[in-house]
Amino acid sequence: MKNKQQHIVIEHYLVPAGLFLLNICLIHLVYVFATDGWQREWYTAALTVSFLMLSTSLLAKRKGYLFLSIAFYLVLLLVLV
Amino acid sequence: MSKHAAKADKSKNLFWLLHHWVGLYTGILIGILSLTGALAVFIPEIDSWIVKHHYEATSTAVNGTPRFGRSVHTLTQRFPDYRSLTISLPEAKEQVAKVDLVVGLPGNRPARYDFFIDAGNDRLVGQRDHQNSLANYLRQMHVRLYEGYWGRQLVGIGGLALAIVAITGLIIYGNFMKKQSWPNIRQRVNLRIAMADWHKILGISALAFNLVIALTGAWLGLQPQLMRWFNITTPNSYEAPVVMEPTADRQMAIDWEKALAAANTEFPDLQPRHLLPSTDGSGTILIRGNISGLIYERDINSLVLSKATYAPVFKYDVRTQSFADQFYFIQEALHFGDFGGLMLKLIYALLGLTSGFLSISGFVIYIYRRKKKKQATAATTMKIIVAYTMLVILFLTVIALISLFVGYAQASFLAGILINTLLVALLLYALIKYGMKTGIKRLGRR
Repeated sequence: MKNKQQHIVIEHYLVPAGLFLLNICLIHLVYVFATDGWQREWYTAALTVSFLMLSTSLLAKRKGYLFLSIAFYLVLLLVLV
Repeated sequence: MSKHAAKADKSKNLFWLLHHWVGLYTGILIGILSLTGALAVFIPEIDSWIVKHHYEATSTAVNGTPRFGRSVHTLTQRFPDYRSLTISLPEAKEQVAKVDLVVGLPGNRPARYDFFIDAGNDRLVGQRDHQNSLANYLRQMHVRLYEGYWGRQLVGIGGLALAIVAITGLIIYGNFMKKQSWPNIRQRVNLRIAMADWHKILGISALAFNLVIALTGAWLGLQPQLMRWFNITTPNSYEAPVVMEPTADRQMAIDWEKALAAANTEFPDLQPRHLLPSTDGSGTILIRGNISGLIYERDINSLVLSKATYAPVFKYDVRTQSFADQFYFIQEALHFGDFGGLMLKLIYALLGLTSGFLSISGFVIYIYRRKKKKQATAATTMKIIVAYTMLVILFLTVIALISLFVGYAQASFLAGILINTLLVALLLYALIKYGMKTGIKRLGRR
């Protein structure tokens, strides 16, 4: 039962949310590298880390890691706003 | 089953039905838009390549400001009654400056030509009919399917449909992933299951991208109607007062180097791309361009100078505008991926093609489901898919050939007939099918 619940949370909610943000993060990352990436080193580095975290968390599929990577990118987006 | 669970299942079933029917009736449109869109993101690059290699028009080394004044003067002497003239400055080394000239033909018909200028030597090095260019074909096919009457609105409806299938797809995704996990594709299964797996995996993987493309596409397509209905005015639509006769305005000599220097002083961040001398008697030069690093529609920043004094008359810097203006101008850039160089365009093209694949894979699933009783095989299904794909490619190729080698008007006329006939046939088919279904149900009840 617990495994089934875990499967639903990860596969039905966290993976789609992670993929949704990964789409945005990929475009965001390429845009930053193509424009002012090297002028804001820390932001670019954090964005790159966020992209790697989102990608690897989708492969690893650990609940905590998925939460963390999603939250980290959302924080980066908030900083931008 | 509890009442709550039954209600949730019923609403998910409704979303599935919406996903199914909207996808089925607009799938072919989404497929065409996906393919043409993947090409349309590269229009500037494709056009530069064609100008350089097909027309053999290049610029010699440009030292400082590009030079084109003498060539433009020659053109205005050759076409003294021109309706409008736009100079596009070269964006890269060896690229030519381009003059987009609209002239009146007998019978008040307009003709539009592109003239190429070597911006190093200020020499005319080539020309073409603007309407019949490949760049124009790619743009018009994606923007309005070459249908001049309401093709743009049809494309907007395609965008709306893509948004609906994306959102409903997300809602029903969980139902189809009860025993499956992303990104696994079941092995050693038939074509239907393999396509269903790819449909789910690719659909959810590119969902955010497709949603952005869909919503911006819906807005861009339905924009003229929506702006009329909701009384929205185009931002940055400045009109300078008329102070002289249009003929006198067209004949005014312009020192383009002075104009560009004035633009640099008045608006240092502006990268001028297009220069438009007025022809309506306002005696002005409109300079449009970009500000580096911003995600907005191309050439949306502008500066209007007086032709006589080169003093600024109007300035539009998108950075200082309201949120509504900025939101308005972000749509096209987001839709065409025109804000992060060639790499971003490549990603846009690849992700954009996913919606085309989704329409094909969705159609395969539909054929299997429909022919279940008739025992559909992979071979017959693939035959149907290949036939539809070939018909779409044939349509795109025939219209392209007519547009390039005969004329835009003829291509648009043919496309209009084909698209509207297909549309009427599709609507009739849907109505007859619906009528038959409800009729049979009523008979069954009796």
